[in-house]
Amino acid sequence: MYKSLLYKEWIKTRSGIACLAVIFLGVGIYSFMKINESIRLLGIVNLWETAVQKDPAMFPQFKYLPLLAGILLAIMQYVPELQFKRLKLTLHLPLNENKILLTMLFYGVIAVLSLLLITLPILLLGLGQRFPSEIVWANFQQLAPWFLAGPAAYLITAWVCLEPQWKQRILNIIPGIIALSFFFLRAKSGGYQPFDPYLILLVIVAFFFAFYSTARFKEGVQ
Amino acid sequence: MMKNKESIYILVLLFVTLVALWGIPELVKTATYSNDRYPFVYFSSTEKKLLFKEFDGREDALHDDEGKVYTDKEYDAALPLLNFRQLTVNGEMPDSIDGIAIDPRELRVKQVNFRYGPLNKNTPNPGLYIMYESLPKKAKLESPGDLFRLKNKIEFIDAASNRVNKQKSEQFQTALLKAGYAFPAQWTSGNLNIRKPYDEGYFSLDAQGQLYHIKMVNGRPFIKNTQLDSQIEPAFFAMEEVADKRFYGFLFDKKGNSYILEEDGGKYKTVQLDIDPIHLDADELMIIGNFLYWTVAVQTDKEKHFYALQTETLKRVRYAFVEAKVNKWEDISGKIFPFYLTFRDKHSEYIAPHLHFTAFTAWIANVLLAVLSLFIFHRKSNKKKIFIGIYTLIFGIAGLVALLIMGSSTSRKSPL
Repeated sequence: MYKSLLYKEWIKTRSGIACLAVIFLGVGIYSFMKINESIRLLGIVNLWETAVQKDPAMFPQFKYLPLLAGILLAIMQYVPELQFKRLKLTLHLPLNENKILLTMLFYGVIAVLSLLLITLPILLLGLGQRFPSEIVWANFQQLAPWFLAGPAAYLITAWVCLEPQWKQRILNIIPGIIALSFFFLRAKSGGYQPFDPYLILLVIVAFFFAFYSTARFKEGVQ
Repeated sequence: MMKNKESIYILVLLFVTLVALWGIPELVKTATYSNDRYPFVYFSSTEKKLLFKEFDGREDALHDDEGKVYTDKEYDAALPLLNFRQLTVNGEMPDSIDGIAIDPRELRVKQVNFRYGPLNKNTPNPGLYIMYESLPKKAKLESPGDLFRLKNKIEFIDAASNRVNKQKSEQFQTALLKAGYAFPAQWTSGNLNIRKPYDEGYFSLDAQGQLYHIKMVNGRPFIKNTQLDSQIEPAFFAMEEVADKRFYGFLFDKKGNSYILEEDGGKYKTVQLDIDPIHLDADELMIIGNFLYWTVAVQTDKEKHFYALQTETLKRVRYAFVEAKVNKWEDISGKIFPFYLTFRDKHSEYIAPHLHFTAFTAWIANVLLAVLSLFIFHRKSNKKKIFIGIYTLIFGIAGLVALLIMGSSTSRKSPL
C-alpha cells in the first residue's frame, strides 16, 4: 500500500522535481560562472581579500531557490488532492489516515531535502577548489538558513493547501509568510549561527501543522 | 486523529502566537522608533568647559555645561581647534592657547577620531587576516598575495594555489613559539584595509591571556609579548593608525577600563583613559581629540556621558552627562506589550531570539484584552472561555490575534 501511495506522489511530482533539478543545476553552473568571472576580472588575491574584509557570500543566487522549491513541491503534491475532494478518497484508503499523511509529508520533505543536500556539498566542494576552508565555512553558514527555508516552506504550504476552508487558508498564509521571513533576516555570513537550531526546531514543529488541516477536513469543515 | 487534534491545535496556536509576538511589536516599532537625539559635545580649550550643540530646534541650542548660552560666532570662537578652518578664513584664529603656539601641522597629526560600539566586538569573524609588510619599500602598502589563519597554529595560505605556504608558516610558527606565544589564540585584532596610512600588524591574545604584537618587518616575523600589567585582562583591542604614531590603538579590559597602548622605548605601555568603566557589550564610545584635549562620549542605553581629558595624560578635566529622552517606542511598548520577541539585538550582529520584558504596568493591557476576548468568544463553552481568558492574559495582543486567526472559523468544531 505504501508503495502505491509513494508511486502516486511520484507521478504527481516527477515533472516538477525534474524541473527543479534543472533549475538548481542551471543556477549552480551560473554561480560558478559568476565566481570565475570575478576571479578573471578582479584576480583571486583581490577576491580573497574582499571576502575576508567585506562579506564572503558567494552564492546570492540561491537565496530564494530552496523556498521556491518547497512551495512548488507542496503545491504539486496537495493541490490535485483538493480538486474534486480527492483527498477524501486518499484518506479512505485501507491505511490509518495519520500514516497516509505521514507518508505523503515524508515523501515531500525527503524530495526537497534530497535536492538541497545534493546541491549543498557540490557548491561547497566547488568553492573549496579556489577558496580556503574559512570562506567555505562562512558560505555554508550563509546558505544554511536559506536551505532550511526549503523544508519549512514545503510544510507550511502543505498546511495551507490541506486546509479545507478558503477563509482559514488565507488566515494561515499570514503567519506562514511571517515565519518564512525568519529565514531571510539581513545578516552577515555567520550571523545566523546562534539562530539555526531554532530554525531547525521550527521545521520540526511545522511538520505537525498539516495534521490539523486534515483533521478539520475529516470533520467536514467547509 | 481526533485524539491528537487538541494538542496539534495548541502547537499551531503557539506557533501563530510566537509569530505575532515578534511581528506585531516589530510593526509598532517601525512606526514609532526614533533615534536618541543627543547633542554634539566638544570641550572648549579656551573656555575650559564642555560646549553643547543641541539639534532639537530650541533657542538655547548652543550652550555650555553651566547653562551659559552662546551665539554662533561665540560658539565658533570658543572651539578654535574644531573650527580651525572657518576661523582661519575669517582671520580670527588665535596664535596660541594657554601659551602653547598653534602649529597647523601638529593640529592635524594629533587629531584623533575613534568610535567603538558592541557591534565591533559581537560580529562573525571568518578568522583570516592579511599580513602586510610593515616596512614597505614603496610608499603604499602592497597586497602580499596570501592570507593567514591564527588559531591552533599560524598558517599562510597562498591565494593563487589555495595551498598552505609551508616555509612562511613555519617561519612565523617558530617565531611565535620562541616568543612564548601559547596556542590556541583567543583573538586577533588588526586593520585589514590596504588603504591605511601605515601598518602595525596585529595584536593577538594567546591562550594564557598574554597580548602579543605580531607583524612582518622586511619579510620576517616580528613578534613581541606586550607584557601588560597583570591587573589588565584584555577583552578587546582596536587598532588605530593615528597620524603621529603616538599609540597603536585602544585596549579595553574585562572590567571595562579603556586604555591606549603606546610604544615606550621598544616596550609597550598602557595609559588609562580617566573615564568610568564601560560595558563593552552595550555601550558606545566616541573620541574626538586634538593636541590639547580629547572629548570622550560614552552612550549607554539610558544616558550619555561626556568627558574632557588632557591629551598628554588622559586625565579628566571636565565631565557632564545627559539623560536619554523617553523614546516613543519605549513609551508605547511599556504600555501595551509586557514582553515581546526580537531576533536582532542592536548590540550584536548575530541573529538570536531575545525576550524583552518591559514595564509591569503593561500587564493592565493584558487584563483588559482578556476581558475583551471573553466578549469576542462569548458563544464558546465555559471551559473554552477559561482557556481563552488565561491565554490572552499571558500573551496579550499576540495571544488574542493568534486566537482570532486560529479560532475564528471553527466556532462549532474548534477543539478549544
